[in-house]
Amino acid sequence: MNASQQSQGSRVADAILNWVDLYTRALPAEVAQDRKDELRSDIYEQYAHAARAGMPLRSVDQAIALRAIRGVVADITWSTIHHTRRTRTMTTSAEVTPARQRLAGQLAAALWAILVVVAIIGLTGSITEMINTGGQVHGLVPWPGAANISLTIVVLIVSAATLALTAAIGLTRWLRARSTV
Amino acid sequence: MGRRKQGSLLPLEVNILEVANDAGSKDELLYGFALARALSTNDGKSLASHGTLYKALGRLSEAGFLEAEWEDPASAETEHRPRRRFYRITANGKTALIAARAGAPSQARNQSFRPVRA
Repeated sequence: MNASQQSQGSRVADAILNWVDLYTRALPAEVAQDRKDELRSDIYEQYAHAARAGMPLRSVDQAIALRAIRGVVADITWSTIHHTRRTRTMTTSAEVTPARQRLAGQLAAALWAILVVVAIIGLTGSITEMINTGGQVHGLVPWPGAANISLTIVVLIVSAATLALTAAIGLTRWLRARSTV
Repeated sequence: MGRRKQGSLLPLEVNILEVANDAGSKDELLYGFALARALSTNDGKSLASHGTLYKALGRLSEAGFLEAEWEDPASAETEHRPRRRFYRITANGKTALIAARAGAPSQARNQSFRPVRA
């Protein structure tokens, strides 16, 4: 039996290549295939070398299995490092490009400004209404039941809460910007 | 196991560069199993484990200290064996090896272990 037949028919070789499939399954196909091809070649070469040296097949199987077992921790570490690096690259390239970051910042600022304006209008409107009419508007209202005291109070509370929230966000952003300068 | 200093080479990596440098000077092609045999201190009876060897080779290649190239599949087929992946020491690898021999990891640190873009 030659080295090619030995490595192809070897249960040890099959087990090692299955193990390679397992620890490279989260990696890109090319990286996984490279590692598998490299191991396939290494195992073949060891069988070929052993055949030339007249070593018994059983001891070659044992030696190859031992090499694989001793490297299990390194295999897992290598795979984890590759996977982590790939995930980090994907995150930085696909999600947080400078253009996307700028757009997100602009959208957040616009939303914040709209909320501030709405809250101020709601707050001043409801306070004015409370002072002028006691929260009750008579005559033309947008819908039946609108502009009664309950609704005015709700508008007042929601507007005050929104204004407090936007103020807190604005203050946090300002402090963060100051600390990074 | 403690965390290694950034840019420093492990003894195994220095040995790999030594073997690769030696092979390069003799114009020999170096591949995984041949390297494992060359690294063995007891005539190939105890070879470097697969995981340790190929992890170290990967790191050295990413650092630009080694160049890896797959063998032409046709020539491997002619010999009825799987194709080999050949490793060659680079100029940066030689510099890092000289620095490691002199016990100066800072030279290697300058080369850094950051992946090299192809």
